[in-house]
Amino acid sequence: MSAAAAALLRVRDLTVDFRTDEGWVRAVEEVGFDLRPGRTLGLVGESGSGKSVSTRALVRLLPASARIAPGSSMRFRLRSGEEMEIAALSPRDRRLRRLRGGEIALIFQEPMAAFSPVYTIGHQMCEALFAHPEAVGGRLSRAEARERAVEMLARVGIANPALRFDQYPFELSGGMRQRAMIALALITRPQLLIADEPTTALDVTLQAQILDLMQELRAEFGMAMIFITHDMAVIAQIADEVAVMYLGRIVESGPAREVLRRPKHPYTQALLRALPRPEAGRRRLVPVPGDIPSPRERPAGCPFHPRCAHRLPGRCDRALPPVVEVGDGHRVACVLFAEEGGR
Amino acid sequence: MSAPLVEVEGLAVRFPVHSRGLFRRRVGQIHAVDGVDLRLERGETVGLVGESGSGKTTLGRAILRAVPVSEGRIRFHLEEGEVDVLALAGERLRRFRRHMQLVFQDPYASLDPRMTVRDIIAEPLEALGLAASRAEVDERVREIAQRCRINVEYLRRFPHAFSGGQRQRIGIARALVCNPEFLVLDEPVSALDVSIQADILNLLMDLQDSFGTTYLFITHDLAVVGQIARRVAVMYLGRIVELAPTEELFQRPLHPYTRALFSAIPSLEPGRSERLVLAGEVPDPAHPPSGCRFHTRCPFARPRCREEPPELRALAPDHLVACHFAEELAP
Ligand SMILES: Nc1ncnc2c1ncn2[C@@H]1O[C@H](COP(=O)(O)OP(=O)(O)OP(=O)(O)O)[C@@H](O)[C@H]1O
Ligand SMILES: Nc1ncnc2c1ncn2[C@@H]1O[C@H](COP(=O)(O)OP(=O)(O)O)[C@@H](O)[C@H]1O
Ligand code: SF4
Ligand code: SF4
Ligand SMILES: [Mg+2]
Ligand SMILES: [Mg+2]
Repeated sequence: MSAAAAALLRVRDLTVDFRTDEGWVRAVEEVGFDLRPGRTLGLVGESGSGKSVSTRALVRLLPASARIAPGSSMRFRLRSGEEMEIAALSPRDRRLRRLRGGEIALIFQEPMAAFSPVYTIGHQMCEALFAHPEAVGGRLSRAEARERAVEMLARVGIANPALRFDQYPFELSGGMRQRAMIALALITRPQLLIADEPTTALDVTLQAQILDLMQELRAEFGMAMIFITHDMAVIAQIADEVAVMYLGRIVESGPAREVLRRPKHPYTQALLRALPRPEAGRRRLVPVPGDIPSPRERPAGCPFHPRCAHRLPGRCDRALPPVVEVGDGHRVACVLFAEEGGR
Repeated sequence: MSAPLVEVEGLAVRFPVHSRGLFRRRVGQIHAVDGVDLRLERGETVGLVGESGSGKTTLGRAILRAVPVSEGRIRFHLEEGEVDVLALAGERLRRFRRHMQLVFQDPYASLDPRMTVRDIIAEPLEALGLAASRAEVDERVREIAQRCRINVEYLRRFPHAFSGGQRQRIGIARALVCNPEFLVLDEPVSALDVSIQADILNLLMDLQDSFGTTYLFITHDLAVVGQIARRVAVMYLGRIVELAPTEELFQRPLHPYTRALFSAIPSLEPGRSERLVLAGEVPDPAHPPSGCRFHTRCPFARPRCREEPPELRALAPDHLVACHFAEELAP
């Protein structure tokens, strides 16, 4: 079987625009990647680079002002083996409900966003089970659902799960809420988990606990994961593959180890240089020059050229750089590599 | 040792806990800061680290007299003499505020959207009546804006037009406009992208070199503190558990809690070696554990730890640790 045939998810030319007072603004442009079952893709980039919008497009959770441009493709292989073109569905299609929370689950930075404040944790977990009988092997009785939910709460490391089952989200501590959100997402055994900066707001100690837990569960359940973060060090811990986004485009992608060791794109290199290292010693850091641009003022040519130290005048500001394969699965969108055919 | 600028002794801040319901009875206390001693020397940066809820913000705000202090002493040694900060009240306290200022974490929430950048920066000067005329205020605002690398063309604009990094520069200019000797920086780069963080940290270091300001730098990010601080204090449940020069702390963390904080940092090299993973979360500060407050999570805890609170004591000349078994446990 070829790698492409084995893919759980194939995204091609995904483009998302927003209608605003100043006209259409492009948030995501021609994004493409493959995700195989059981693998983790890390999506990294500055705020506003399009990480959340591109993954929300995958479950069609975009606001009404958003439009997925014609030509975008997101092909997902369902448990049944059937392929589904997510881009072709209408936002009200009933099949989307089966997809969301059943085959594809989401977790967020703020756990309160995943829960309703007016129902208990347990009630919400049971509702997820009832809503997705196809994912959990048929209709469950109340007692069966409760048993599964309590089991899952225990599995994510919540002490006294039977008590927590009957509590409301606000009654849990921050760390417990994060765990409960993961339990709610995984109760239906999704094939794909999208994690949108789930550890960004946490202390390092909690972050380490949650990352360890997610690694374990991913391996145990054999699900694939898209992990969004702006922290390269988190990518190093959790991702098999990485895609670096800048102004809505993927500028570099490939095996995480390879991209972190030998970053090629000037933006990836600058991001890694700017990262403060956990070492002592007062020294100047190397910021990425300039500010994060707004998608309203998308530069012509290479989106990074106004901040790039290597830009070639007359080239980088005119045409989009081609995507060049510089190593096994390691792709870079930069003219420096088109010149040399990789280095 | 050179003369300290700020000297904190036995500082405690307790918040009352009330019952829910109609008659809000006082049912207990949170010991947010519990007996902290800290000296900050002139022109140095002391980093303050610890998990959420450990009392960092409360300690910083207590020194600034922004939360009520329950016990202890705070002294400033200024050129014009020693000041007992807790003895100040009313007009004298208001006038003293020019010596100490705060920079907030959130550059989005902390700037009033209805004020121009000029008015935001000028506010402390005007509120404290430190400038004789509007022209003088304008001049000072332009000067500090330039030092903080804010384009003076932007002074008439409103903050919503600015990116996170630019807003944080505005927050810093506002804190520095009345030339304070002491600045509390509460997570000043935590809300910013990495690419912008480096720029703000560089700016803070440059400003300190020019003005000699003393910084108390609060963060939960050890990498950031390693970059900017001369000394680091580690807090747990209201107490300082370790205090050492930055290099020393990074090379030889002695408190089990500090070691756990270090091993939790994700590293760019995957598959890190010997990790000390902390189980559980910070206990409820309204019911702190007896003895060593860390004993419920410490992998090395012994019976004595439950009973007797460890003193903060010097293991090396500048290296203070609050752990009964620090010598034995030292790696
Ligand atoms: N005004 C207040 N009333 C009651 N309790 C308070 C108040 N302010 C802080 N606390 C409590 O005091 C303790 C210390 O809080 P503090 O905000 O100083 O922690 P921190 O170390 O700054 O945490 P973080 O990293 O989350 O900012 C916490 O338990 C907090 O809930
Ligand atoms: N509802 C919306 N209306 C208009 N623009 C939006 C909306 N949501 C997101 N955007 C824009 O899309 C871009 C990408 O946003 P997002 O995916 O949230 O970034 P990230 O998750 O990488 O921080 C940003 O420029 C953002 O301002
Ligand atoms: S294409 Fe040009 S501007 Fe873009 S990253 Fe490469 S060298 Fe820099
Ligand atoms: S005193 Fe005991 S519990 Fe506290 S840090 Fe030391 S060994 Fe651990
Ligand atoms: Mg986002
Ligand atoms: Mg705080």
